[in-house]
Amino acid sequence: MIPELGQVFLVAALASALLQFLGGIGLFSRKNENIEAFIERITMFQTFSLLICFGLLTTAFLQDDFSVLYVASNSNTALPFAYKIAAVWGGHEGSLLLWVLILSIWTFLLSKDRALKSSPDLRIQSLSILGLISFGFLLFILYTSNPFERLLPSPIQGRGLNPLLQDPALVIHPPTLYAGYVGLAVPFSLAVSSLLTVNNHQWAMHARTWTVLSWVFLTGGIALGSWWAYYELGWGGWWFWDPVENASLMPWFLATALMHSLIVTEKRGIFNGFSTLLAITAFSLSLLGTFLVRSGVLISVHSFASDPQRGLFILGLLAFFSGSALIIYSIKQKKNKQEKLHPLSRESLLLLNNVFLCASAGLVLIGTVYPLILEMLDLGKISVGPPYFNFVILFPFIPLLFSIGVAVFSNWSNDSKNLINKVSPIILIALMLGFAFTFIYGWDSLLTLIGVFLALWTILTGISPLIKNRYSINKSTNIIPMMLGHIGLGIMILGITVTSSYGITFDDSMNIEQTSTVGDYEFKLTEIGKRNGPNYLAQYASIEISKDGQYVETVYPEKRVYDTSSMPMTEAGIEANLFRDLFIAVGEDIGGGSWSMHLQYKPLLRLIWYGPIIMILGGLIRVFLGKKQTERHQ
Amino acid sequence: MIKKSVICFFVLICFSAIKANELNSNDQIRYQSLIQEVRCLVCQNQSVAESNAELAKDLRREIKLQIQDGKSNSEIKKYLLDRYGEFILYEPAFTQKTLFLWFSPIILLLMFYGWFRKIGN
Repeated sequence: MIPELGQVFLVAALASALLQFLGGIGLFSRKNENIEAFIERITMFQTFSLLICFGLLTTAFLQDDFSVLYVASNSNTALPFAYKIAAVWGGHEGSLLLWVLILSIWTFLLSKDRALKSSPDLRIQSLSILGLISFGFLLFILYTSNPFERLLPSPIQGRGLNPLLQDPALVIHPPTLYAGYVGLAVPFSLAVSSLLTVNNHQWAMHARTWTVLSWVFLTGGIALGSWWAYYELGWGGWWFWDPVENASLMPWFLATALMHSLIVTEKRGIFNGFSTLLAITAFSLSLLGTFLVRSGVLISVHSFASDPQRGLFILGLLAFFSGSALIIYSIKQKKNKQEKLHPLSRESLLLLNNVFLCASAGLVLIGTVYPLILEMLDLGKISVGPPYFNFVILFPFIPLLFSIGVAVFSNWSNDSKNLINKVSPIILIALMLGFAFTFIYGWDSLLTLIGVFLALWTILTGISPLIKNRYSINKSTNIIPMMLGHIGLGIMILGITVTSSYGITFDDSMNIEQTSTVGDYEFKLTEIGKRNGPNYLAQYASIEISKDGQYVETVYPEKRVYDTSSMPMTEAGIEANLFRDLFIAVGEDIGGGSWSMHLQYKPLLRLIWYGPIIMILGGLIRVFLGKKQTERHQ
Repeated sequence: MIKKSVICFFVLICFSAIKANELNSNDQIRYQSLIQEVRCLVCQNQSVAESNAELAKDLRREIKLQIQDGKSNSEIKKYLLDRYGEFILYEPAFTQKTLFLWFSPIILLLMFYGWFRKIGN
């Protein structure tokens, strides 16, 4: 009964999404007030229907209703309660349902945006476009990926959830990331509806807060994913340049660019076309990410060809939404106001940085799809992995990081006088600190020095408004978010540079009571044993860590074999503080009571996640203050 | 720092003396970076350093043996390439078909710089 009810509400949501679109284009009434009242109600109804759908699917999971195909493939009776809930979005169908649910929540929130009510045309059109996007994806769900599909006769036991996904971080990682992905639909719809209606730069003011909010979610989602990969995938890496990761990184680059471009568009009324284009491409890359992850094309081009329905459908949606948005852009976009920019004005520097961010997104895109294209052209299978990305990303990122710091000191509208005088003391301090840093940690390479210098430079220029506000930075709601954003970025870059340059990895075979040394730390294997988990069997080791003979901590890395999968999963033992992580993973039994152990010393690793937390904080402050400010403007 | 690394080095030397099948510290570093550049062919997308699969274990053993035999990184990569094809290396070789891939940073930066000038003026 529950799945059928879910089906009904899914169809109801589909119908209301269509009505939302049709109402928006004025099919039922020409009067703005009528349309607005209608859309508000239908939006609420759609969100309500999808919430019920989601609740019903969750109920099916909690009741172990294996007559539902999706439940049978992603859960079983032994699964702990919390993971039964997380399993709702652990597979393809459920995660798409989450996608449209989040879209409808964003739409609902946009319909409640008080500031936007002053621009009824913009408001109606953007809600209408969001309705169309929702309609497309609901159609996709009903047509190819229905989570409520029955499996008859129903099996006694389900297949269970992928053990990799049985982790607390997975409970929040996908929803957070999706909120970011899908949130970019809001600036997209505002940009396109602006082109269709008022066609001026007014949309930028409304889009800013929404863009920052989706950026916050996107940043959080990516950071959570990286953290999860670090402790769950078992080998101490925190970024793999996996196509799935890249799919989230590309929209992040463009959302960051959009956020900054919108500042210029709102403040100075220029770069309207550029901002519009960024809003369109950022959401398009979100759709492309959805396609890459959901079509199966990443495993192999051929696996995509064997079940092309899903992939082709998303590709169709992508082509339709980006294509029509770009066509509308090319027809409607007015020529830029001809205004000569001063090369060292804040406008120019922001534009330059945004261009570097676009180039970064472009590079990641090329690296991600290149092997797919070669395979499609029958030119053989190649891999494009970390060595490639780590190298090419330096091209846009080194100049970008440098120019971020300069931009902080620049003025609007004209060349900042004695910009060089202003920045050179900070460059000197950052350089000196950089040298001191590489002296303490030991010389590694020029690239390490550059990385440390750029990180410190970004942090110092981020802090500088606080020390002295003489640097012509207007007191505004942007200053604290800007500072936190830049400081967070610098801290993250510092963590990345130091951990990659000074980290030590050591594989050793150890017997009981034997000690292995990595850096300044000694690791002593004191015990090897077995224990039973709720749905797995674990082989654990007990490792005593000490430094210069002083006891530090005992950790218990595990190797788990889940009931539903033969592949062993590594649960690392991690001892962490602000300055370093010690990471231990159990390898194989190599006979004679000897075990292979994977030991790592990772200095400043935590900064890679503390940085984004600070950035997120900045973003949240911006959302909070920005909302108030826009409302005051009305 | 120097003192510590010297001690560290000697400790490692002692260990390698005890265990004949372990690598010395330089080779250990080389081994660690090499296994991260080699793809586990039977896995979703993991290097042989990260994977628990049998093939990954075999490849790790093979790479370790070749390092102990005194083979250079490029000799080992050549061996893997001949045996398993281009797919096995995470760093794509510089060939005709990867020309665009390797030049893309320059091409993109030039392209976007042109765009920047166009909008800026």
